[in-house]
Amino acid sequence: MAIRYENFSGGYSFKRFAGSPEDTLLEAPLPAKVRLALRSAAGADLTALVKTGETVKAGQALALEGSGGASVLATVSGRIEELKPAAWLGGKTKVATIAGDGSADWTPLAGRLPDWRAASPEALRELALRSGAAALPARAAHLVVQAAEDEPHNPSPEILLQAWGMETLVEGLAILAKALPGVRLHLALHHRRRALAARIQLAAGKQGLSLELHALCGKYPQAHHAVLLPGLLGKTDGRQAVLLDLQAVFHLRDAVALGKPMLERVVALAGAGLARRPHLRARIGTPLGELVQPYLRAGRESRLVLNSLIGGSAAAPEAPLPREAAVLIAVPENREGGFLPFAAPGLASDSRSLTFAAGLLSLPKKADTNLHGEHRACISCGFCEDVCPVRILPNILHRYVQKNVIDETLVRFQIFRCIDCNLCSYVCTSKIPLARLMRQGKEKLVKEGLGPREVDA
Amino acid sequence: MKTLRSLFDALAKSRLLRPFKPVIQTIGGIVCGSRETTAEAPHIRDHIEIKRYMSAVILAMAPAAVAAVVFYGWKAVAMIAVSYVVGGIIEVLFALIRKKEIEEGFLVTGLIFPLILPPTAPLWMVAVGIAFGVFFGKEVFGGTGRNIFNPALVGRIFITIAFPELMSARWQKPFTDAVTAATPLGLFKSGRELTPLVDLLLGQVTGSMGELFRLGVIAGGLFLIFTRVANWRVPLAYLGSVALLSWIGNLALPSLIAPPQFQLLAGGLLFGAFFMATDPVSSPSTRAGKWVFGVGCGIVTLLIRHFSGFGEGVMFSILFMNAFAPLIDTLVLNLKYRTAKV
Repeated sequence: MAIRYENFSGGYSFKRFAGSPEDTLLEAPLPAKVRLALRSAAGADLTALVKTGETVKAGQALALEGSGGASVLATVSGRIEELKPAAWLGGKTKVATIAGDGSADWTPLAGRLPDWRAASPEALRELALRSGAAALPARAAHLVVQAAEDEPHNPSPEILLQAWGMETLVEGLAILAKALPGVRLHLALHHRRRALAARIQLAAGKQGLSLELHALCGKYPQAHHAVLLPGLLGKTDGRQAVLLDLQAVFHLRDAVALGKPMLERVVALAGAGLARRPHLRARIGTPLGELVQPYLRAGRESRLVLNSLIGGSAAAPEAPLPREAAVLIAVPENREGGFLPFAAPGLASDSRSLTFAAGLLSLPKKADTNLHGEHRACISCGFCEDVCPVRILPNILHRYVQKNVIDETLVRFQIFRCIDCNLCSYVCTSKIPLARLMRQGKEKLVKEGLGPREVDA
Repeated sequence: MKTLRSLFDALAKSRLLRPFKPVIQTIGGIVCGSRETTAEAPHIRDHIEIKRYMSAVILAMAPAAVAAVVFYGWKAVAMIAVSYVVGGIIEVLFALIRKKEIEEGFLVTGLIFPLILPPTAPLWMVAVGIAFGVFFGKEVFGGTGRNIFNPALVGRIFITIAFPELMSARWQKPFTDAVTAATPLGLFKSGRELTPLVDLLLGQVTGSMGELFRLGVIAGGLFLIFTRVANWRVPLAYLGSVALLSWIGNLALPSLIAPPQFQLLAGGLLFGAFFMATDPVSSPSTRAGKWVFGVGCGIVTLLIRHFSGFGEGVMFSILFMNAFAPLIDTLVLNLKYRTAKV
């Protein structure tokens, strides 16, 4: 079958950045301690099943949402050292600290289904949820597995496939097809990965699975569900689709076929702050600092950022590796600027404008935290409008928020279509924090009772 | 780099130079770049900034400016210098009063202004014009980004109206000393005479200093569009509508309206379409608005060229459409979001 090329209006292609993950896979050493938030992937607080001082096995449930609901599993065997509320992702939640006993073994999931082909879809979905791999709805017309590679730094799907093997992926897809009766399977990879996509399709075909392939343009934020799903499937079907990343399929298969709980995550190291940047297989909950420590470049101050330089959050070295980790970036802090930046050739400077050599010659670009300019008034250059993936007008909207005019006009101008991709802030010539202003505007509107209703026009 | 930075830090802290702090900070920023880092996502930023943006515009105008110097020698240099010095003083004064850094938009205004003057313009008039343009065209609105009109055009219109004789009847061909009242557009109006296109392209005709070397103007305009600094919609709509309408007009009224190839190359059209109508601040910010704006400029330019007493209509048309830019944006937004569910 032909591979469909998927583009969308707006967005921005980061192309090649120096310091991207290397094509190697290493095992991270077992952590001495892990920290795990007793919270579901959807953000709900869960009831603790264990007490401080208790001994737990890797794979044992620490907390549960109802019966058969989402759970948080211990990711190392050891003793619960601490169980108390702590700051977590901007809020507060109960966090368990486990001191590991150094053993790498784990308990299989209760109710595993080695003969999954004979199991019911409900049982498969429940196991997927309890293993921590994926929360699947009862019904879905489409399932999209993506590795969009739309960020400046991306994990390599080739390495993930190497880590688990082609059979694992195909079996995972078969399990998904079984768990979601009648579902159509889609695989969406960057257009550079056409050969890989074809290989996967061929292997799936041998198992009688039909897989629809999509070659993605790779512009940021194509991996965002609000951009990817309507683009691939249309507005109506896009709403009834499930979106998983490649790694979730592997974890799901391990949970169902082997009874293996989701204890680990393959996280790609990236950023010029690191001398080596392998993909690491690491236990969930491992302090991020421990993961990057062996690879840090000496004498360079770096900021740890999880998953995305554009949309991700900065993390302290003590922060634990979350379940949804994909990339861990050490981006160099740059408080110095550069010499005559307005006239510099810019051999490694990324810009949407083609005023730097790196953009003209397709050279690898260097990322750092400098603002690369001073704050100025908006000159309506239109860059933010050009890159906006949901076709709203940050340059107009931000003025209302700045003047604190928060009323129906903002709703009418579709501020609630904003998906917080942050691309407008990235490209702004005047260094205006457009995305933050839009977020503030949306929050204030919600407070005033003017929240989003039907926001798709 | 570090020593330079500490030098500027020391100067900015000095008690003696305190009133000049904004100027010192500006120069420090130009030389050493920004020290500020991102506080949240996005953790990295595009390297474009206003200084680079404006530098790109200046670079794009360089062929036209260099040609002006080649054509008119020291007079052109002196006019550019006076424009920068006088406009710069006003800019610095406002920065000091506002206690804010100097805005880079002036670097473009300061170059555009002398380039849209006749080479015969006396230097004192350059000073008066740029002072008026920067003051009334920009500073009274609150500086770059808040102005409604293109500041260079405000200055130009002011001296055109104040000194009509000097501004529209004293032209000088490159490499000659003879002063004449005739411009290619005027020659067509009075005697249906079409200046050869090659002369227009190479600038061997009368006109404002910067508009003459049209090959260079076109190259600069394409550079701006290629680098994405100027939006392509405005020049395309402007030049396209002039071409289309004058083609139709020339078929209907050949004795009154010149053919499109002449229209495009005559007068300040190319310079205006590439370097002034594209000014993002004073043109509409919506995409649809940019089309309307460009087409409006085209229509008004032709109307003035052929149905008014003035010889050239480019600056009036851009200034006129500048006034409508906010209205155009409002209309576009109302249309765009008319059917939106609230």
